[in-house]
Amino acid sequence: MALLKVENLSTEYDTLEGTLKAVDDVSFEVKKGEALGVVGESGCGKSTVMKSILQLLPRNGRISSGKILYKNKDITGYNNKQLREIRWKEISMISQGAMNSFNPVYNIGKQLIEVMIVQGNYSEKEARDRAIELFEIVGLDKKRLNDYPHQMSGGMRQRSMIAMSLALDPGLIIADEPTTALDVVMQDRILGKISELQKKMELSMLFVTHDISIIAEVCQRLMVMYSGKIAEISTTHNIFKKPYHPYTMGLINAIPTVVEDIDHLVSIPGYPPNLINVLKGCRFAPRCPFATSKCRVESPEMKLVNENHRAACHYIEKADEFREKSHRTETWEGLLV
Amino acid sequence: MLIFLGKRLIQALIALFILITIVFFMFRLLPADPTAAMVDASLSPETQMQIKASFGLDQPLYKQYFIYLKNIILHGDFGMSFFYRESVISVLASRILNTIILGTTAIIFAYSLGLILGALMAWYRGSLFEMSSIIVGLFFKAAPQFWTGMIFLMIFSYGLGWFPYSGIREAGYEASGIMKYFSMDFLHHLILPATVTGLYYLAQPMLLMRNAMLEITNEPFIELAFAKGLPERRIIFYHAARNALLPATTTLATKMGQLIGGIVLIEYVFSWPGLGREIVMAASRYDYPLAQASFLLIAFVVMFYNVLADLLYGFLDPRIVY
Repeated sequence: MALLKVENLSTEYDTLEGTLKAVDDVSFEVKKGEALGVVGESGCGKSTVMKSILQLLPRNGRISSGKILYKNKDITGYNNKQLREIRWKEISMISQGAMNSFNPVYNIGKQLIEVMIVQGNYSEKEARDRAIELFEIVGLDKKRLNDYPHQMSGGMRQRSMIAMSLALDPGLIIADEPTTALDVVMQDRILGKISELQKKMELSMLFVTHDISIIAEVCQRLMVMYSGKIAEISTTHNIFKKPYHPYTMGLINAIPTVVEDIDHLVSIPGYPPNLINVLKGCRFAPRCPFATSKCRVESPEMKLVNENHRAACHYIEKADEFREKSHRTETWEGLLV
Repeated sequence: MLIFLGKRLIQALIALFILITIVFFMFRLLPADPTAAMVDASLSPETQMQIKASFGLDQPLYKQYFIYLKNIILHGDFGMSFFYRESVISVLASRILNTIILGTTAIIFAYSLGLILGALMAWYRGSLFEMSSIIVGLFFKAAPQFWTGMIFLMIFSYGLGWFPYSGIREAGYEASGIMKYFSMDFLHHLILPATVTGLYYLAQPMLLMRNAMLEITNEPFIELAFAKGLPERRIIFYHAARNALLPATTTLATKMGQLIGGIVLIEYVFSWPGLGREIVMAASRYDYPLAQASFLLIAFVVMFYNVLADLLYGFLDPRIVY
């Protein structure tokens, strides 16, 4: 059963230059107990998807069409009171704790306890006990509850953030770049922790990141976004093994590896397109080494590759050939950008 | 913390000492002869000399300075008022409290209202409420205080009869000591001048708060507070406004000094028997001991509020450690 089902979601921002369609007709679902990774470059709409679900869009943003079904109820039309019933109790969030995600003037314990008392009807005593328990789960000393955010390291703040997201036993946790701004060693530990908790507690998660290598570690399924649309979605295993969208191929080939003997990494040249005046055709076409004239005119539909693998490319039948060529740097460098 | 407080107090003492020196010599540099004010010219030269000698005015300047300093430090004695012929301390004691009460009330009014309005203005940016608050705030900032005072007197005292015209208590009202400040009658007299003064000082904390809030509302922890499902009012005041307090607080100390110095007009319009009025009178009467002591008192009040503001930072922002 799908815990979260997003159907044809489009989200727009009003800007001075016009309306920007940050998310365009996106559909996916998160099953109970599974972690879905959302990956893409800056501006691909992954954060907007996350903010649309939590309805934390800035004032100039709005969901223009589509549905977000949480436990089979459409939450897009919810008013503030209804949203408060969902927020944190049902859907919580792990934001970039290393950054300014904690209020600097209150200690961490206070902020943890706050949500339990205000949203979870805990008593002061129960909330404190729970906070200590949560700190144990994420591997922090309970003395640290009295620390102010600035007294903690980035990694500790991130652990506290994870502890806070678990506070009310939510149905779904949305992690927004939880390891950005951490050093690699700490990144690895935090990911290990998230992955461990996810498996042990069977958490349902939506994991947003720009780093596809992170997804491999934590998520069972993976969704690649490009320019406001889904490029490809499947199990992590499938996508890493047999990607069908040239963009995914580029992303995977850009991951450095210590196992295989590769001289140089592939990088995808160019930049994502402007989302205000959207071109016709496939949005990846200007950067795609395999693009044809058809790609520049006709926007590709989402195609079923197999039972749980979809990709938005006109030439999924040629994917084997593309995959072969995509390993070579010349394929990408031969491009006029 | 205590070390910091000690350091701050020592700094304040040094500043006060420098100030005493400057104020002392500043008044001696004025062209008018201070003795002329208090010694009747029709008296015989011998008698004149006698009176001067009794005040120590026949001594050379540097000796006068050391005597002055010695009296302040050892006896807390600021000399004798030339005009009232009584000790400066007792003249000022009855005035300073009136001024401090009026000033503090006004500043509390200005800051509590200003901070709340400023926070809401940023939150409801672009609303009619924001625009009208800016206009009202700037209007009272731009209008001269005495003018606002007169208009308010015209409307609320003469027109509507809600408040008394002047003074600090009704004629015939008797109370002694500190108790005279804790009566409905005193409060009734206080409201109008305090409001007028407060309105003048409203704009700055309000606009500072608004700007600080605008920055804070973009912080990730505010977004997280929404994600946590906290009630909006809690997010505005408990999370956002609490973080935006610092810049406005910084101005509190300087404003207080400015206010005590500038309150003279209000005291004049409302016939408030305070320090400001006394300074003007003292200066025009060449009553130097009184004027000197008044300046020192103002300086002292400013320093007191500065130390207070410093301590407040540490309380408001845990990142500031002394």
